[in-house]
Amino acid sequence: MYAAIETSFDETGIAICDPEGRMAASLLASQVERHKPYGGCVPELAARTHLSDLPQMWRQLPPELVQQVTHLGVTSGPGLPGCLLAGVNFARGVARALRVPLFGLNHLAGHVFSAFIPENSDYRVVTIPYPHLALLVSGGHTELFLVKSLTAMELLGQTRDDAVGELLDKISALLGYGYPGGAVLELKAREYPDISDDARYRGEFKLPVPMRDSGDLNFSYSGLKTAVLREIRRGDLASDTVIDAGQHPSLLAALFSVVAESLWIKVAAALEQYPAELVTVSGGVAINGFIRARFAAEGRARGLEVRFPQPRHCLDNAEMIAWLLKLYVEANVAPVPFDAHSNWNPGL
Amino acid sequence: MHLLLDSSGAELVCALADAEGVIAENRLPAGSEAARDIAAVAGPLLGEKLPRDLDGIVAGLGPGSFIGTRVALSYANGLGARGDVPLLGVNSLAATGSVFGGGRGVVLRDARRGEVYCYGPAGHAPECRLLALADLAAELGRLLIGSVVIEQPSPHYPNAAKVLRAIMAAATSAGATTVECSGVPAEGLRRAGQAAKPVDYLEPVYLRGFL
Repeated sequence: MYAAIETSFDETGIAICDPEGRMAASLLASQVERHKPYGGCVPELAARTHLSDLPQMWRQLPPELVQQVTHLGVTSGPGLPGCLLAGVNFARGVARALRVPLFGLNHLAGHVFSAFIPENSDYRVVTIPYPHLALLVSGGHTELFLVKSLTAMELLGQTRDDAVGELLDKISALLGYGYPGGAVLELKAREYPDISDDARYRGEFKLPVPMRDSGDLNFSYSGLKTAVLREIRRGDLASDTVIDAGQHPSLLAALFSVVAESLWIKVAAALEQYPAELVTVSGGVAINGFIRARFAAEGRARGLEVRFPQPRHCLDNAEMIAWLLKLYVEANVAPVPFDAHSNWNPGL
Repeated sequence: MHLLLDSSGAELVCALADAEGVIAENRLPAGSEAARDIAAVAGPLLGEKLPRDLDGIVAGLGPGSFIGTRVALSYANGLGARGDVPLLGVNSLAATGSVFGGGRGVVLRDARRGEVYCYGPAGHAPECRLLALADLAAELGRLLIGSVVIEQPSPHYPNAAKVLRAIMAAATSAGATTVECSGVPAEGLRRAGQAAKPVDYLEPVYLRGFL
């Protein structure tokens, strides 16, 4: 049995994966409601919460399952330093108590390989093809990787400023929809009827596609945020007058269409340079239906396999870390001494 | 046999103790590379012992550096996660005071941001509080205490020497005799642990908010 602990940001997770990839136990304590009054994650509050949640959650695991744990993994980066240290040191204590080897695992690699976690009710062996492309989109990350093997990922491009999820949170705050923004903005955008099945928008708002002609595989979303703000203020950033709430669905549909386009054009450009038959899209923003629709449509048109994690594996969770641990052990990757690394990018 | 842990101050402290006293001890400067892996520091002390082989784990709850204090407490919580070893939390400054100053004086620890953590004297309520460095001399004078134990700030802190001088000056101007210590003594953790009640999990003493 492979047990894992995840505390990189504001979700406390513990999971146990069996040797066939089924999740025998999974616990997740979200801190979203605690952070909501502050308009975003408060790092010190998150670290305090991990410290008290972890021992309480661990004791909820069935003892007979804990006795079968043979390996323990913990997210050791990237993430908030105080949060990572709470998880890493708790894991060190548990590993000592259970006398099992401890692996420090990369949070981003966990997201990337989460696209291959089998559904418990529909279990089948998945062979992961290499190389493939992996797009990771979340509140803290917008990165495109060439995945060469389980332990070798090359960073092809990343955001130069805001992550996609960060953009959505900021737009949500601007429109008064609160934190986090992704889900509520998508619901609002769904009220707009004139958007195609592949998330192409043909309405009144004209938003620029960021980095369309940059000539590289990087992303940028701060300019798009400004463009949306300009539309909210009726074309004048200095204006106090704003569009009617009735126009929000159309504006947000335009936004999601442009975001999906901006992500797809970079993946398409990467496929030109690095031919692959598979693209994965993971991370919290990979839940978004517009992005899923656009990528699925592009995949069908090109004969390209596009995989998304199950929605519960898109947000931060420990199941993806337990799954990654299982893959590591099966590949005979040995545990090595590790420390918490808040800026650990697996592709650098 | 008890495992003693404290990472709230200028040194990471790992020790083993029995009813008679401290048997073995490892101390490392907080912030040093070697001190970042508490399991590697505690492991050689524990040898083949599992948590269930211990009579308890005594851990310093601070007050101190938020992140630093949580290193030992997270590790202790992990060791005790199966519920087969008592977890005993103690105030780190009380542990220091039980060894230095005869347990009757005041213990001071730099809290950064121009503030000082202050414990004691015995019987004072609250026992532990956060004081502005600028108010320290007047507060110590008001308390009419005889001795002050001052923990040396971590040498990794750029303003350590300056802060130590300021705390010493405040104590001296209040007429107190001063004792310096380099960190929480393991013997103090052992003594304080004898009076501690077991808890389900350990949490730091927080004298500051999280914003």
